[in-house]
Amino acid sequence: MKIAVCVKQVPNRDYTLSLTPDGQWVREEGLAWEINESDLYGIEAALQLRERWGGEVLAVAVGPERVTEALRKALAMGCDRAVLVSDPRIPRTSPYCVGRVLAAVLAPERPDLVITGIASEDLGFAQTAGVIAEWLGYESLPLVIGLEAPQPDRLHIRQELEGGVFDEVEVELPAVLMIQSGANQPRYASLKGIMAAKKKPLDVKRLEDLGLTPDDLRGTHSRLEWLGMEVPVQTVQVEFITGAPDEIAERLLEKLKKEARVL
Amino acid sequence: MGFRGVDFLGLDEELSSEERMVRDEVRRWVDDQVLPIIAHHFEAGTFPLHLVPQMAELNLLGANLDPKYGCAGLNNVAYGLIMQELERGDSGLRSFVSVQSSLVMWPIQEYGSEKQKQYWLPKMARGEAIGCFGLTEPDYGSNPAGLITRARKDGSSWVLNGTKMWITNGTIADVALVWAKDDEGVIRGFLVERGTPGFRQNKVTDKFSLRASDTGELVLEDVRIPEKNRLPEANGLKAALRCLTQARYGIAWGAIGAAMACYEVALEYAKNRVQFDRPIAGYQLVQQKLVYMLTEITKMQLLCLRLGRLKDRGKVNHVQVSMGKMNNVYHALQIARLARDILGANGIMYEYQVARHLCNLESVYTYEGTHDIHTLIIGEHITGLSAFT
Repeated sequence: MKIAVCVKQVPNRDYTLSLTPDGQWVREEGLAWEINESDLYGIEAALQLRERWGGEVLAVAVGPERVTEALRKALAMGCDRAVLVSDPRIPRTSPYCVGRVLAAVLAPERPDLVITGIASEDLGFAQTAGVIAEWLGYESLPLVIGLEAPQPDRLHIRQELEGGVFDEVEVELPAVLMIQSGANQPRYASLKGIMAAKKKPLDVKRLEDLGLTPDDLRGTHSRLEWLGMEVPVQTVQVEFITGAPDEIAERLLEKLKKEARVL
Repeated sequence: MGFRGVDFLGLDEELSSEERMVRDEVRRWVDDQVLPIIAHHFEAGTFPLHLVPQMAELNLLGANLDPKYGCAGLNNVAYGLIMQELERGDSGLRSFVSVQSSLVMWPIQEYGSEKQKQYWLPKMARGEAIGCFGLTEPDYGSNPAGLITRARKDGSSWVLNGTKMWITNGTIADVALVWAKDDEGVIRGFLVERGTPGFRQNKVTDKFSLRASDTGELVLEDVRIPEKNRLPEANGLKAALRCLTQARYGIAWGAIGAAMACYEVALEYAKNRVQFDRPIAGYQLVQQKLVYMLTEITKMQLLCLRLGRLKDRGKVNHVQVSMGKMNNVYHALQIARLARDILGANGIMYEYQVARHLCNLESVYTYEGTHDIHTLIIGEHITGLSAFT
């Protein structure tokens, strides 16, 4: 079974974000990075399928040079090889472009299965998987919370819908899955895994290596324009309610219901 | 929220990406698996034995030893970072790994026969066998040369008699590396297996420190050990002391972990605790304490990083390691005391960790060579005059 997992590197959640002066991106100086949480579940799902049916797991990513650390971590967890597309001409805030580039990496690989996290924690578009599936002509399944492979060419999928409802589907491969956090228990990278990762192949490619040009990522294909980011201003309002206890309680209740809307 | 570490000088840049990844994985494991349960074990006075298979899975046991015996083959800086992260969890946990890795696996790799290495090292790396190190005796601590445990040669075997005290992993160990004097007065190392007739492993209880660590007393009464269980190259006190240099190196790193844990707690607490209408972090006396903590942690990190790089080049000596152990544990203990002070009454609660670290560090301060003995080792080195006796 040949499985590809898409990995995104996002700012570490334990760090407070601040923006660049032009408001176009976060300040990267002093920031730590980590693998997008749901992508870790994707890696684990891929490794478990390989352990069950054999084959290989390929980790793919788009982003600047620093993303090699995220891919090394994926290799340390047990992925077999990795490809990073690092090219400043790729608009990284466009899910279409990122998906298009990843599809170009995956097309010649013809994986049986492509796994992505449900959404990235930084931008949260949740569209990359759909774009990849469209370009590869694969079935795509969102909201995956569990999967089994009774046969190497068929998956039994459990999806989590709204309101605590689950559904179950069977899909014939190839397919693209968007996996949710909580679907499994991502493993730690063992020290031997970290040592072995140094020797595993990690290819860095540019657009030309994939047969793409910047024009392929422009025009009618991508209609999304990135305007910028902002940090919401925190406002604190304090109001003292005075009067008899009954009146205070009544007015407080009303405010909690109508203004704060917590009741 | 996960632990972010303390890195005032940007020393992360001096680490390789593998070293950082090793540290970060162990850090996450400590956050996930150790911190939620460690106070319970400290309170109950039990070692969290269920963590051993997990540590083995992560390859934390004998991490800097030879891959051909099933170990990860990391460099010494990565090994040090592991010790740092484990001791941020608890000194008892770091002690377990120090003893297993540096005091039992390392001597087997260094002094053992090929058969001993092939039998014990993979098993110990997988956590299927736990080791302990028996050098200290009830009456011989700082003066190990005086040890009175005897090994009498009898045909093709040895007969051991004596008592070893304050032995980390003492009652959970499957194998004890016991140091004993032969008839010529030469100190030799023997592998004594659990269940050998005449060998008893008794638990030391009623401790207020290292409560989540197993401490034992080893009693040897006419214990017959085959020649094949003697470490062939471990001859003389120097062989035993070289093991301690390995372990002390890890302790120097471990102390940084305990100190960072205390500093982090104290800083957060001071920023949030309001007295006289403002956070106590805004008062000069509190800031002085916090700045002392940060400064000493930073110096501890520099010292360890240098020791580690020297060790990787085979150039570190035991006197330099003594300075690392002496300095880092001393300041970690001061930092734990100051953190407890800043936290006031809350400082004694399990919830805030600092009292647990403080109690633990009181042991670390005097084990593996007391603070004073390390001072005398360095003193002798610089003056040429021994002040031990």
